[in-house]
Amino acid sequence: MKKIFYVMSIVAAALIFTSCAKAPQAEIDAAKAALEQAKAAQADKYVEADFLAVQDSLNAVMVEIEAQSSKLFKSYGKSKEKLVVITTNATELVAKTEVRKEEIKTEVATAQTAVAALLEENNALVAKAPKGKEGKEAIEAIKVDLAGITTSVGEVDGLLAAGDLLGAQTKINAAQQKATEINTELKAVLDKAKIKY
Amino acid sequence: MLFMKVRKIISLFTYLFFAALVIFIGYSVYVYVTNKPPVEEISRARESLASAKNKKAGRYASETLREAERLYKWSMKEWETQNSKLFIFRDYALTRDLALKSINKSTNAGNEAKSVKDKLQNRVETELATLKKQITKFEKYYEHLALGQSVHRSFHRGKTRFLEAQIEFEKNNLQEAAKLTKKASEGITTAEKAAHIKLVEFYKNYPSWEKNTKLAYSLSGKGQTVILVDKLQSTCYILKGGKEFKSFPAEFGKSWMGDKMYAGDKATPEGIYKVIDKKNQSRTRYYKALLINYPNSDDQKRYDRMVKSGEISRRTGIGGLIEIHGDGGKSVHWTDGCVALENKEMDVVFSNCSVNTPVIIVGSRQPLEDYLN
Repeated sequence: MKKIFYVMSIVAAALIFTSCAKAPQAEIDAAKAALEQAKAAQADKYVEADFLAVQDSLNAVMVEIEAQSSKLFKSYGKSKEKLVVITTNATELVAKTEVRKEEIKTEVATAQTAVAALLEENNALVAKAPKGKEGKEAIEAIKVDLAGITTSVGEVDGLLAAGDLLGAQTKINAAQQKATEINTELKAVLDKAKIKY
Repeated sequence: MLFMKVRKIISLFTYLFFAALVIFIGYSVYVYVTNKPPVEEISRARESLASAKNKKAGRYASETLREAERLYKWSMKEWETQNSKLFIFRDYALTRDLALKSINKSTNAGNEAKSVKDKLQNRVETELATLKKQITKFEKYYEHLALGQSVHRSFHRGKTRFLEAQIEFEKNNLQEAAKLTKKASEGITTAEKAAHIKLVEFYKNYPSWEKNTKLAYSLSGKGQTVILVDKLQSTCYILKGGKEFKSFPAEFGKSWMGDKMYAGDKATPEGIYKVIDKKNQSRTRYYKALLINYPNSDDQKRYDRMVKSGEISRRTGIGGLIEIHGDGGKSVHWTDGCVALENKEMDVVFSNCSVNTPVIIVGSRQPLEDYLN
């Protein structure tokens, strides 16, 4: 009889011991906070695929943790390790976002310089353009176009200041495309008229 | 005897206790084995959610995705609640049900996102093609007209938004592309409508232009040298023997679309005039000049009528000193209402004209339908 009680006591103690294993709340909180920080840094906008991957990894680990919590013999060791990795990845997302933002800013700045140079060149080419009937009408249109580009370039700074980097990127790219088209058009006209530029 | 009875009772209770314990343990094992946690359903719900997000449901089916996420979070919370209970009291039915509902919603969100995205892609693509045609048409028929800065600005703002929309479309940012396409359409359509109205308004004088053009050819056919100016074509013709002898690009007043009404309106007059003075370089700032008799009697009558009706103040003069002069070739309409030619071309016109040479200025020699075709 005593033996039976011993065995049962041991089983009960083991049950109590394993059942009392706690979910890694500190690691969960750290991972969630790191992901929130990444979102606040706009990782979901600038490195969307990476952000979604980390978010899904966290969801998967949360499922694992609850699955362990459902068991009689709980083990959170692996989940804990994964949470640490997720926290690191989420923290890295902030850095990645900043890198991407800097890349866009550099790209915008380069395009701004290129557009400024194109505008200067285009104005010089307009002055040299032939004044025939067709040319006159085209040049008048080009002048309005050039003024429009100058306005767009001005708007880019406003977008950058407001933190809308993707909007600024689109706007300056459109301005560059327009300025390049005009440049090509003017050079073709000058080539046709055999005017040096 | 009593002791024996007590022992029997204790023994009975002990057996009963163990029997109950065995039943309880058996039941617990049964519950533990049969009451499986909803790991599979929740995992599937998570995968569905991730899949919907990867299909951009956050952008194109945000409401449905939000509902799927709400159900998923609820199922996780419910699972957590059940797990906090002693395992024999756990019931995962609601957790499982919520997870299945979340799967359903996520699947819908993914499908909806794909459908919305496809439709939006087609719509934006069509709109961009339409805008491209509108831009081409505007640049061909309207852009060089004296439409006023607001119309030109509206068109160029629209054209810039069009380029931006194209960039966003190429980046697959369809919602942004759709927004920009709408803005582009607003700008371009506004400019196109205003330009067309202006052109139709300009053409209301076409019957008199047609009559005056015929007169110009008729006079030249009778042996007179005639200067014919076509404002829409920005061209100055020398007519001889009923034919075009020479033609030159011409520049006018900034508000060249429309007849001259009063001093300072920057419009170039339309009508039948004649050269009343030939000015060589010593008498004009603009190389050489042919002064014409603006205002003629028709201009004067119209001016008087407008003053009488109060359309213009008497203090506003009718204007004058309208010439065909040199110093042109600036690529813009820049004069105060005169006709400007390049100097070498002015030489040709000057040498072919004398005092009383007819100068006929028309808005256009061709009808509106021909111009737009």
